[in-house]
Amino acid sequence: MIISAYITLFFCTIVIQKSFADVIESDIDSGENEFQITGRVDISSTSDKDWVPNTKIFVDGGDYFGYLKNDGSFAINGIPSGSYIVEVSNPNFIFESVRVDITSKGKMRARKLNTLRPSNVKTMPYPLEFKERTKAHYFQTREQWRLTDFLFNPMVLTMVLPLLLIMVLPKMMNSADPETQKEMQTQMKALNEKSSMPDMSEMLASFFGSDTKKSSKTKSTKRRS
Amino acid sequence: MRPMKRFLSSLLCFIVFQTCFCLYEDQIGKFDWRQQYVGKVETTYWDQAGKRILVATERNVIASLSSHNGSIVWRQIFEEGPRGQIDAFLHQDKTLLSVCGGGHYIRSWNSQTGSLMWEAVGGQTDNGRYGWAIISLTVSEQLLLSTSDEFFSFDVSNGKQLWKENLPNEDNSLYEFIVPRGDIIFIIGISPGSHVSILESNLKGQLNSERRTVPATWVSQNTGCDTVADNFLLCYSSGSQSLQLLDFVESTTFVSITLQDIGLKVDSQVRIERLPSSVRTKNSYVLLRFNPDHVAVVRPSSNGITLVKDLPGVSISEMNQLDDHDVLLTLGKISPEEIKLTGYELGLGGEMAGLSQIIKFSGNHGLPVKMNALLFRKKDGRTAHRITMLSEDYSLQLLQKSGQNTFSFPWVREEALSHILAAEMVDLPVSENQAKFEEEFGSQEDDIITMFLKRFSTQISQLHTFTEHFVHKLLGNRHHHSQLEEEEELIRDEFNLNKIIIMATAAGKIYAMQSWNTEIVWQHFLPDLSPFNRYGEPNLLLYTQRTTAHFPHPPQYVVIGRNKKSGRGMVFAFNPITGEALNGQPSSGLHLNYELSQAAILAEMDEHFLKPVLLIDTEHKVYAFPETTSKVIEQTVTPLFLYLTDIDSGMMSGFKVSSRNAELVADKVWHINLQRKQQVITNVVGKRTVEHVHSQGRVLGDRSVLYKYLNPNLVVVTAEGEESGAALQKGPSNFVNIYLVDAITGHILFHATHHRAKGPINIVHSENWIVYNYFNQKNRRHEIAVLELYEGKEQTNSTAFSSFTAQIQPLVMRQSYIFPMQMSAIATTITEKGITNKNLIIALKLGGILSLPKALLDPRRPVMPTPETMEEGTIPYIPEIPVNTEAILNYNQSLYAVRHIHTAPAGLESTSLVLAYGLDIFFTRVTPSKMFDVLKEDFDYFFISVVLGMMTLVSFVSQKCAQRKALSRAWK
Repeated sequence: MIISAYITLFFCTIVIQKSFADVIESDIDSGENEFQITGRVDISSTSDKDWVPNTKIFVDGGDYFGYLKNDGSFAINGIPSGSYIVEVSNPNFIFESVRVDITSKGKMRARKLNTLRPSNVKTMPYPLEFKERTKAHYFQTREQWRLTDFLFNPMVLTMVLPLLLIMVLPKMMNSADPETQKEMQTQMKALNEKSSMPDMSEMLASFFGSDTKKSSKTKSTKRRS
Repeated sequence: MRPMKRFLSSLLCFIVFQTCFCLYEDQIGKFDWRQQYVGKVETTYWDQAGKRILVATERNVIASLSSHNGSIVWRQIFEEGPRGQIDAFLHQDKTLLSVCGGGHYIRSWNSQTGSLMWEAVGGQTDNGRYGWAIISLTVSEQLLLSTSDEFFSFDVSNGKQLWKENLPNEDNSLYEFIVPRGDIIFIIGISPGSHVSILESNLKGQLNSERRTVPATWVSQNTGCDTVADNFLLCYSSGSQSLQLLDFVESTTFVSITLQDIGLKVDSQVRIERLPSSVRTKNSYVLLRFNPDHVAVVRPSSNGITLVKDLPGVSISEMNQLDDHDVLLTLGKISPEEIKLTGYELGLGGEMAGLSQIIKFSGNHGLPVKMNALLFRKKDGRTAHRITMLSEDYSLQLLQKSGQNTFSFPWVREEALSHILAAEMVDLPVSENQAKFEEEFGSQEDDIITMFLKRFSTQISQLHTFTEHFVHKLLGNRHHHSQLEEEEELIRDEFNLNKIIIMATAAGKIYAMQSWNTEIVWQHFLPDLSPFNRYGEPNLLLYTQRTTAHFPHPPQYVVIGRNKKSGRGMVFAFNPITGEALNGQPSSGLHLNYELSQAAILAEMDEHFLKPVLLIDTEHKVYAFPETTSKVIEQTVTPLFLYLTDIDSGMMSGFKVSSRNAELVADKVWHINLQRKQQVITNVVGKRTVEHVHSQGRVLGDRSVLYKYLNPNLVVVTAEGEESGAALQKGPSNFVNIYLVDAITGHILFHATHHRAKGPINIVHSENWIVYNYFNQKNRRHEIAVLELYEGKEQTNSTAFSSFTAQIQPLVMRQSYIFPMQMSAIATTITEKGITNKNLIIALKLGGILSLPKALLDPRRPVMPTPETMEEGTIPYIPEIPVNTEAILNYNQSLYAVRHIHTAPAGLESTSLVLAYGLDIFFTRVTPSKMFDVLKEDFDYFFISVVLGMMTLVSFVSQKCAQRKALSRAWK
């Protein structure tokens, strides 16, 4: 029961929509009458009233212009029946565009602009209400070198954490309990004897200054000879 | 699967946009600039006691300018075309009114801020006659408006229509004048060829039923008339060369007065200069114009017309009032570089000493055309004068008394720059030393010794300049240094980023502007030059005949247009760096004795590196410019071909140029009939000659190469029409046809039709691809389509392309996308070697200039991404092209009514220069593949050097430590 009702409703909307579209299309040629598109623009995120003269309404990309009054309202006259895209042009804010359909009898309907599925109808209030969607972001933010950025870099984190674990943890455990300390020491000794862990400073020195080392060695050998 | 795909595609999109050009906030104005204009000024008013100037212009703009520096305080733009055309513009006290679209839209503006007060709808223009409405304000703040057959009254304070009357129009009367006189309003209409009718109405809109007609068989639609005071109508009858005066309040006949009767000896035509309606009723003088530099002032009265002043050598004059005296101000050119301002006090007769002066005035502005003076007494009793002056070259200037009784022009607005028709960017010349270098390697005749000597001398001079520089730097002599800098200014920079922009305008004026600081290097006014104007699209041609690369030959550019007077061709060749006329031409341009139908520049050069320009007249005769280069055409090995497109007949025809009897002739080789009855040709677009294609093909995912079809002779032709079976279908049904034609053979390589599609179509044609946009009527959205042409996996001829070899049919790939915005112009970036990716530069009608990577418009974008396409790097197909605000080049500096975008390569391969012009001018740089050839400007030198320094330090320290440790270990 519910499903069938739903289907009929759906069917109805399709029919209405279709007839609406037909009316629009067939009456474009005989567009004797001219109509008016009205609405309001409001930018709530700024208190500066400077946006009013800088804002313009574009109907079909500038075929018809609308100008704002001081209170943000606009009325565009002399528009024949048809389907139009109404856009708001403001250099600093972005607005959603609306499609407005006007029948030959002057019936107005505003709907969400859907370029992908033009036959989808999602009606919107008329007279039009434009509210800014976002502030327009034209610029990239510059990358800056900050210590925190460096420290929270995953690469650095993966390097630093193990180091911390190696250096700090044993010491913490050492200080905790003298018995375990002794145990640890013996363990460590055993480890040290077996392992061939290279000395940190030595490794660095060989890495960066291998050439100089060699040359100094050769020098020293020369001196000896 | 689906959301996964979505995610993938959006990710890819994101990656693409990451690589596209974006600005940092601190880069604002660093290499981009915008200049705002208003257009050719038609009407001016003074506002706020001379602080502001209100203007209405030919570009459908009203604006308020600051009289202090000429900057725009506010500006409102109306629609392009007849709907936005300004019929009337009225400023009285605090009211500012504009009437647009043939008396249809009446708007009242706040003259301080430029915001709309109210808008009202007037009459319907049914006869398509625009620019007709006349308005008048009565004493009781009532606005009167008359269109062709209706008469309205509005309340000025809120725009309410008070009343409306139909005007009798059975005799084709054109109601041209409304004269309020006390409580009665006179409406005067002209019926061409028969009579003048006068209607009376009271302020409540009750028409006096009785209509008076005054016979006037001489009156025609072009007859100049004006009303004087509140009771005279004065016309000039060109047939009898006499002035016709009518006292429309009392008299019923015209009084005819010949010019001889009032003591004027003139044989040229006379025009009556119309005054703005706001001052008309107060004025009792009439200005007659005989020539651009000869006017006379007459005063009609009930006894006839008296000559007030005959002013030969005066271009404009204006009546004004000061302390209840009538003051006549005149401006006239007395020498090419000087104008004379004269003030006459009409009541007393004499010249006013304080207002008569000779002022320096650049010859590049032509003659003054209009003036609007403001005379008033300051509080201390002295008179103040401010005069706005319009000149032949569309410039608007302020003439003001500065300091000790000398007049000067504090600012000038070059409004011709809002009427640019063609622009080119010129490389700056190289420095003297580099030029010598070039010279050394350029000549081939010298023997070894002279070459050695040359090399020696150049190196000595190099050393000399270096030491000079060094000494200057050491001394730090700033004054001297700045002078040097000024001299050196016009020298190419390291990356050849700074150019000189040559702009040819509809006013017949050529400008050269420095691209880095918007300074005008030179300007040259050609009074007789006017654009070609056949289909409502004015057009001037600007060609590069010789670039700056051929030192010591000067670079040469040429502007081709139409002679204003004769309609024949006109050519002006000039040096783009200095603006001097070249080839021994007069500085007013070379007048040709034939009408032009086409012009083209050749790729071949003569022995002086000059590319000849071919001029084709209406009888298909070919001329070379300059004439000395015709040898080049005769000697060229490859035959020359031309094509002409006739929109009126819908025919495209190709011609072969050959020389016969020492004359160049064009013989018809082919023609294509594009069926004028069904469709109209709207675009014919070839490739840009300066373009380089770096890569011959495209590497596919499987490592094979798809070769591009690079036919330099390819031309895109679009035609639009209405579907013939439109009655069967619902609604309007147009179609767009697109043809790819080989211009040498006339072969149509490709043809496509878009049904239910409409223009206007903007096209980019570059390399092997074509991008164009159209309006899809079925889905009511704008779409953008791309065609790409490929030869296939094998290249037919890798060295040279010829249209004559057996035609290979190129593979044409195409795809179309939804473009969510409307565009007014489109262009593509161009770089030095063509290695860098291409971006499309699109001027959006909403005001942005969008930089869109070409990769988004690629017909190889797959609907289903496969590993192979991923390998190739194509973005999966999404129907809608995303418009990202970060890709808007002009950020919040909106540009409206952009007509064209010009791109030019810079010396850096990564960079392309963009110039958008229309009402405003905008210039910027784009780097479609980012700055890959120079370090970024935010490159952190400090950080890098600190890190390097630290590294060396650490290595030293650790080495020392290691040594010590080794030593101590050795001791153990």
